[in-house]
Amino acid sequence: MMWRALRAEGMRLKPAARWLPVISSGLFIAFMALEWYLYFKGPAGVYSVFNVMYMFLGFIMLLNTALLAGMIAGLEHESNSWKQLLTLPVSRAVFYWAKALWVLVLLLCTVLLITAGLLLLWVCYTSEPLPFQFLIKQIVYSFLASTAVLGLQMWLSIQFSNQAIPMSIGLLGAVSGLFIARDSGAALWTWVWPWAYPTLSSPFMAHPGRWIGISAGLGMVLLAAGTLHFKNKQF
Amino acid sequence: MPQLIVETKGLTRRFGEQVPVNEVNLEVPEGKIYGFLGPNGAGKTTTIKMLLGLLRADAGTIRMFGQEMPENSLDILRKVGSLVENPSYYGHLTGYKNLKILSTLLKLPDRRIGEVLEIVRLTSSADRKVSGYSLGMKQRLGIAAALLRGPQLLILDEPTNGLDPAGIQEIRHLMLSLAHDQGMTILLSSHLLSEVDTIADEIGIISSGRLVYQGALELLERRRGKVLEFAVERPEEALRTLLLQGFAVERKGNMLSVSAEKASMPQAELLKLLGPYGIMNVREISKSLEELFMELTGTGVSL
Repeated sequence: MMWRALRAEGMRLKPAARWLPVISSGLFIAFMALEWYLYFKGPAGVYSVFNVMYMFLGFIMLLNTALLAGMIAGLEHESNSWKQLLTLPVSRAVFYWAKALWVLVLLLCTVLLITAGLLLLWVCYTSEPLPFQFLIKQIVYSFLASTAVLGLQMWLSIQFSNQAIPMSIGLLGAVSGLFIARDSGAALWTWVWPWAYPTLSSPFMAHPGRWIGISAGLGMVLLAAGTLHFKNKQF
Repeated sequence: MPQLIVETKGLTRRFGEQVPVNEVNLEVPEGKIYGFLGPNGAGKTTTIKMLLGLLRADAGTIRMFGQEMPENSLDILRKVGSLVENPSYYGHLTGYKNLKILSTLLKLPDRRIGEVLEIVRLTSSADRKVSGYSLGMKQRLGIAAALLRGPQLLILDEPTNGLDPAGIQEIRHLMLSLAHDQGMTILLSSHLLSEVDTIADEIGIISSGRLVYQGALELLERRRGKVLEFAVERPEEALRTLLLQGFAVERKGNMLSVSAEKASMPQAELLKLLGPYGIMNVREISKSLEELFMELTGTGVSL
């Protein structure tokens, strides 16, 4: 059943949701190239790209999570489709998880495109040795640590029929992540601030594994709670 | 007595102080077209949403196909096709793709899509985007979606909303053929009596959340009263005579209106009684079903 729900979800995906990973990773790579070109010259300079990525990877992941969840859930609100879908003999949980998984898949596409783009850029720009493992870790960690926000955004996007609300919350959250990246120590409140997790789980930080674990755990709790709420939602 | 496909007992839904659906006992027999009537805001859609599990009932029980709803919702919904309020559609996809999404979820073969498109005559527009469809076409696509799984019970909430007369006629024919040729049970809601009185076998009339009438259409017709109007030369005396005989009479000038609840009106007796007062003219007026509907739902007063 899950597989069929995923296929049906894929069929009705809006073109914007398909293109978002391509556009966002393209912009990200272009931004890195610009930074390199303008500021970081010489052999030592090339490695500072990891610092710039540290700043903005979390932002791009969090923003994409909010936008994708908004597009995928918003489609049913704007097309008036909930009442048609939910009168099918399919469990509501299946719909909820099919949507969440599609957001994850499209985020994963973003991860792959950013990785590929950066490799290409590196090969074209410099002959310095590339710390490949570090690069993969940096990108994948920020993806894994976005799970908590995914759980939150799914919940909001399904509850609110007006996607401006969850998307604004997502944008503000992602911006707050930018500031946390500039903050040296992890203050106490960052523990409960899901938008801080992608930045905190960078391999530059002391305990990336811990933040990924917290994010994944919280993400699962939020997804489960969202599913439960959705099951009892009235239309 | 045919089996009941839908049976609700004391179905109630509250919304704060208001009670949009109040102790409704719906009985939809198998293989019949059930016209669910009521003015706008009477509780039709709310009732239907509860039947489909989209809303929870605050009190009462729902049994469909002999099973409790919503406890057995997946089993029940397998046999039910529905169209609630305005149709649902993905405007950026073609009509075919819209149905393909549902058939994928329902695990149905692709040929079924062609079949239902044929039934609602959308085959030639199947490859166009739904955002370019007319309202009638969208409505027909919604019906196609409801028919896709080959349901035993079809629940349509105001399916002729926004359709032109030809479209309405077409939907009527479709309902009749589905019910009579395929034995489908159809629950059809409408705010217009004239829209269902030609096709419905049974009707239920809901007003302010209460079911005020339920039963065969013929029984309702029998309830509509008749009025006989006499123009007489000496109305004063004629009026006195009729009142003495216990008739309900109203006088307007030299016109006397005698109303009777029963269809079997002692016309001959009246003529005999009024004969001496010089009858100039006799006219029989029967209340239209529409008037009766207004009376039952009390919408004649408002507005």
